[in-house]
Amino acid sequence: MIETTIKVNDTMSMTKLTASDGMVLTNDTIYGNEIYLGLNDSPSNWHEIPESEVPSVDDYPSLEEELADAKDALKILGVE
Amino acid sequence: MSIADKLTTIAGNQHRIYQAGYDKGKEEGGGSAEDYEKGVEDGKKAEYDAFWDAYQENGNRKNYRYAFYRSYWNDTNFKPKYNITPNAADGQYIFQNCAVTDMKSILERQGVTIDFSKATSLYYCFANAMVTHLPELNCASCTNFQNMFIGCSNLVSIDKITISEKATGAYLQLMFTSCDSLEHIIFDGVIAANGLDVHWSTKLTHDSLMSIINTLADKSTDTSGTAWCVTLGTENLAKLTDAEKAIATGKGWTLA
Repeated sequence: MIETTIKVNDTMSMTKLTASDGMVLTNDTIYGNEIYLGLNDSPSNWHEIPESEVPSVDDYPSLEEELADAKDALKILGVE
Repeated sequence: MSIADKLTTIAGNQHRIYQAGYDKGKEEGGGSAEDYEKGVEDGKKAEYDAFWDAYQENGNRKNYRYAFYRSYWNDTNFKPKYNITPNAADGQYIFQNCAVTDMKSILERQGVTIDFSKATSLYYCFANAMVTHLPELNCASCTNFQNMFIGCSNLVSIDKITISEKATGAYLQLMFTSCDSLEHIIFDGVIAANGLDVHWSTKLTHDSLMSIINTLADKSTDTSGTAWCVTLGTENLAKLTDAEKAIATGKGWTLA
């Protein structure tokens, strides 16, 4: 992880974290290759994990959930 | 009768409409072509009114859950007569898997709006819909945006979406999952909920990104220990200058 201080102007600077090659930065909730820290955030809150370990965000409902939804829909529409 | 059956019946009634128009024209005016056409138009209008007055309860319908669910709703038959105004939690699933595309243009032609101002939950509202363009959406009363536009891979623009401090929790995190075509969306109001994630939308305009930055609530004095984060993604971050990013970080938001 590379930590860089960016001087925005005479009174403001910003801390940027950059992940190493093949790695992703995370605070266990958010994931990214580049992180621009908020005012109250700290580099110690972030660590690197391999890209392959980033959780899938394909959080679509399962087929069973879709079927259950469809049945509910038909009931509400008064078809069954 | 299912919605699909009702719509099929309307289409099947075309012949009876034409015949009724012809008979009426012949009875009243000697059966001229103009009389025939007027009869047909009158018949179509009566059929349209009958369906939509019933379906939208003469404009009083508040529970719109699943109202336009699934792909048998499309650009041809989606012709609402009244504003779509769900109440409270009755904004869930309204357009899930709907095949209507340019909803904005259709609503403008119909002279009606989508009014989400009273909806408190828009959970899965447009999930997996084929919609391409949406008008302004006032979601100021909404607390739950979870998966609202998940899977809207054809969605190109939302004129404006108003969010207030009522939106809490992490419900914004999956709101735009897989919105790969989204280019233009203007946020209004205040984003005070954590975890907004638009990294799937790599084509977002600079104006869209700045609307996010500018509507982020000021968390600079927050002492709760919460890590306030917005995920824009690498491509979108590259569109912002350091000074623009610093607007967000200065308000206490980490950008990913």
